[in-house]
Amino acid sequence: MSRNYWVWRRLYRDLQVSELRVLVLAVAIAVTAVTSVGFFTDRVGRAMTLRSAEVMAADVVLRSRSLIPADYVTKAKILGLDVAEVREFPSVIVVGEDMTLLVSVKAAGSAYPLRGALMIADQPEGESYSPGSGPVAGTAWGDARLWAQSQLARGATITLGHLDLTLTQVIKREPDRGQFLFDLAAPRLLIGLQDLGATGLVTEASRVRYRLLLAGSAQALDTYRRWFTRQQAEGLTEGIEIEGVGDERPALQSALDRAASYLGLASLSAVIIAGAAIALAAQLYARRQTDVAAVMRALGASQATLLQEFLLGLMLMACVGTLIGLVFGYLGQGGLGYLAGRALAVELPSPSVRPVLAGLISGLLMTLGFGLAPIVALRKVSVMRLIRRESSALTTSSVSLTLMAIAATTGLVFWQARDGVLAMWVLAVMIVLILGLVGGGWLFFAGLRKIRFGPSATRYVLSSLGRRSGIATLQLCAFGAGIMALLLLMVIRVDLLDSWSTSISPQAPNHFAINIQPLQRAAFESALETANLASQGLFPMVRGRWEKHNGMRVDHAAFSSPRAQRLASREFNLSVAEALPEGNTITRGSWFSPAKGRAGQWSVEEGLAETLGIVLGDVLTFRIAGEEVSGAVTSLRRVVWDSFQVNFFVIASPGLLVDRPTTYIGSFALPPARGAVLAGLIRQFPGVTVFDVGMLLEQVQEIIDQVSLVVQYVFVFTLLAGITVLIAAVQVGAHDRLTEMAILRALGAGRRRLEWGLLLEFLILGSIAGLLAALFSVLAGHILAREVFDLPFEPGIAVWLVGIGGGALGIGLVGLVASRSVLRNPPLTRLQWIQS
Amino acid sequence: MDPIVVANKLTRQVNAPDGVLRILDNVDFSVIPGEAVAVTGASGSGKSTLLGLLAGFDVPTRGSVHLLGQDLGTLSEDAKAALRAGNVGFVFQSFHLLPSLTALENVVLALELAGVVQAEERAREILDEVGLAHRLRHFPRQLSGGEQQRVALARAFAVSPQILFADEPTGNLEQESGRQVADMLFNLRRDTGTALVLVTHDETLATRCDRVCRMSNGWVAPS
Repeated sequence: MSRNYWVWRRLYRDLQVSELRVLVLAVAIAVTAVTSVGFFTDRVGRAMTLRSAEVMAADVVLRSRSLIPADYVTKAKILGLDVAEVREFPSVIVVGEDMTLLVSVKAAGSAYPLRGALMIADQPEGESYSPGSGPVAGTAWGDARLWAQSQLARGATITLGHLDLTLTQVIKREPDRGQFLFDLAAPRLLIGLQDLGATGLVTEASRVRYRLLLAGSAQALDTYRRWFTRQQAEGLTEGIEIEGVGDERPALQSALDRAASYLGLASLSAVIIAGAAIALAAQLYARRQTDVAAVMRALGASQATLLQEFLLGLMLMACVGTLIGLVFGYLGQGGLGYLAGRALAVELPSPSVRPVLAGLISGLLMTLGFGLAPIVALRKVSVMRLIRRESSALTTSSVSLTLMAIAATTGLVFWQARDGVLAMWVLAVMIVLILGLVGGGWLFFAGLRKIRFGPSATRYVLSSLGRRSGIATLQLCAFGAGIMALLLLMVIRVDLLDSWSTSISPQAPNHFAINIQPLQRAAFESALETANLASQGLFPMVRGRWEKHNGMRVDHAAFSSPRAQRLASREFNLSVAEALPEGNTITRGSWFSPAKGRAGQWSVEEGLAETLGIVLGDVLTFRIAGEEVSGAVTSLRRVVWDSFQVNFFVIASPGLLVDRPTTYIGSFALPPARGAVLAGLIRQFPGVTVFDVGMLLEQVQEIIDQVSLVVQYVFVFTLLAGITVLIAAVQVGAHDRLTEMAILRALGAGRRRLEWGLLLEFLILGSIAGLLAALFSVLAGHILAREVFDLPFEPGIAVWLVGIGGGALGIGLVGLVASRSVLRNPPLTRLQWIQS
Repeated sequence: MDPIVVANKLTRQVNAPDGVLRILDNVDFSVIPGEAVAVTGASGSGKSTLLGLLAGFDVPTRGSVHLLGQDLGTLSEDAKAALRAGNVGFVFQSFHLLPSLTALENVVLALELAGVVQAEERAREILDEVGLAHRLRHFPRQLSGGEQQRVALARAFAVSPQILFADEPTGNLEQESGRQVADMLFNLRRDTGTALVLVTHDETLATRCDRVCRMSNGWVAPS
């Protein structure tokens, strides 16, 4: 019989008859949690990426100011990508005899849009529907504003350049509208690409924006991007920029980033809960194998043989648990995916292989990380225990156990987390939590050992907990980690999620007004006030080109990233502010203060600073109306882009931009029913351009709403996994306790007394674990809110009540229920079982 | 003839709540090949501690143990385990069979650890000798106490050890089973010529040995 035969044989038998099933169950639950959350977040994450691709009308877009060479189209087609060409430029249409109207023309190929839906209607108030293709030759579609401003009826003729077109449909929804806020200033006219040449408007001098939309498989897109990067490296892509989902549009990117962080946190919670359960189960497994190890040692087995066999046994069980977990994880996410898909009204992509791999590695890595220390300890078991029972029970070094657990958690957290900052903070909180629970538990149980008062049952429970401080501390850690994960979910779900959902309030501005002249400022503000429109006020805006960085001329071509090149080359909208604008937070340096001198200070948005390599103390020079204006960067700001307030990349200190050509910009919220107010404003201030960002706002709000819902689904699942693992933890720790109970029962202790003893023990464990968990979840909530989610966090008293009360009652009841069989059955049953 | 096991000035003390407790105090002890020695004494007299030290399960506070010519004090735990494999047999009061293995597998495991080829064949033979040929596929929990101890005897003698340490082998058995197990123990020992160190408080059992050492408060009285 081979050595492997023995391992298989023992494993098979143990799985039949012993608590090893608990270990398998713990691993299975852990892997179920990790994989179902993994599967689910993977699918939802990809659905979200698809959803955000909709607002670009493509997966990847190439942009240029000149015609994009045919090579780029050919390469895309070779790779099997879908391609659509779009050209945009401002122009004027002639309506009737003498009316002209400034429009933003879009000429699109028939495949447009590749992602998202273009919705049209036959009349401005008509039902919207999705067209089969774009405008046919000789026709044009206009948005509601074009129809309103031109006052044309369906079938009217408009003239664009040399071409007469028939206006046929109303554009109700254009997926990629609002790529640049200022494009929204003019109404949209959509024509077919085939008609563009006939207009005669596209010449070398015309200001046309060329876009090549691409969509297809992730692999093909990746290949295309790599090919593009190579072209770029060879200097062949001059003037062409590539953009994927999330490369641009800070408001959308911010929403998606936060969504990824929330989902990542949900996944990490599952990892934490699972680790706690596996640590307990592995400890019990090792304790159960102590006699087996001692007998084998007496028969001459070497330490290496023991380690090999028990490790192999442990890993076999990990495999069994992992496989079960993978199956249940897959089934679990299937149900969730169905529910979420319906609720979100999106079709989730089918599961990928990645979560399977993640589950497999998680299961094995967690079992090793949390289970290796007790297994290694088995190797050094004293054979003397075969003769003298009381001598040398198995002792696992709590230091090595903790270090191994931390190492395993670190690996998993960094591997699983989608957000490095989040992972680092979760890990830091975890380490503090483990150390806190171990330290707190040790002190508490050491104190319990000294208690010599109270009724006999109470005294017995307290001293018994004190004597079993090793396993009790371990249990405390498991309960604490489990409760903390659940509390954190509560905190995150309720508080942070609410903060996020409300970060775009119903009062969020949906209209922007620009070109307000200084002399019109007071009148415009008063008009907004009279119309009772919510506004943050008007902000000065001065246009300037970035000229010098620390005295050196800025060469935009020297920047490596296209985004940096674009930002550096375009005109900046500079503003001036006395006080830090609402919703902005200083991340480095300090806001302008008279003490630092009133002149020459800039405050720069941190993302821009990072992209352009600007640090605190740098001197920036802008050319404004032909003159240079310099100042030092004295603060970096974080801006909540998805708030839809007016925000600026660069703000000057008061006095720096005096006498520079200034206009004002403002935003206000206009309820849809009050369109007449807008018409009044436009009539009163004809020079002011007002444009509607309602569609973009709606899209961001929609993503936030969808993701909130999804996160809640994921959290509910993690919550269920957490509860299940807590129950497993109670059962795992029950071995010694139940044996003692059986002995006490045999000695004649009444059922009520034993129930009270059990309840008391679990109440103590639960409340201490709950207290420590509440403490650490509040701490973690603060850190996560500030460092990761950038949201305010006000924990209520509920965290403490639920932590301590819920911990005590929940674990008390679960413990009691889990131990009922012993109280119900005759003690001999348990004692015989222990003997066997 | 050189002794198979020799203890010189063996002392074992442990820390107890009231101070240091001396379980063994300068004990000298030896067994020659093929000899059967009983160690008797009241509970707590140090019998089991002596057995553990002689078998290399425990480390003395002072003094030395030479087993099969090797000074146990100079050997690592693995070297002691290797020395035991195939040379030293054990029988415990609580049987200590591996619960997840059948009777046959328990014996085979010991033979394989001792490097014996055709372990299964040998295991069947010896289980037949102890009258358990019909119980080969039974698990320990399916066997009576007497049967479990007979499996333990088979496991111990299967490797033809030079010395067998037995700790109260009949202590957990009722009289009839105890008598059967004792008969088997002495018969197997006689057939194999194995030396025996038998810890017991059963005087009848002790008298079946060649020599009896009585322990009292950590001392061995001369026999």
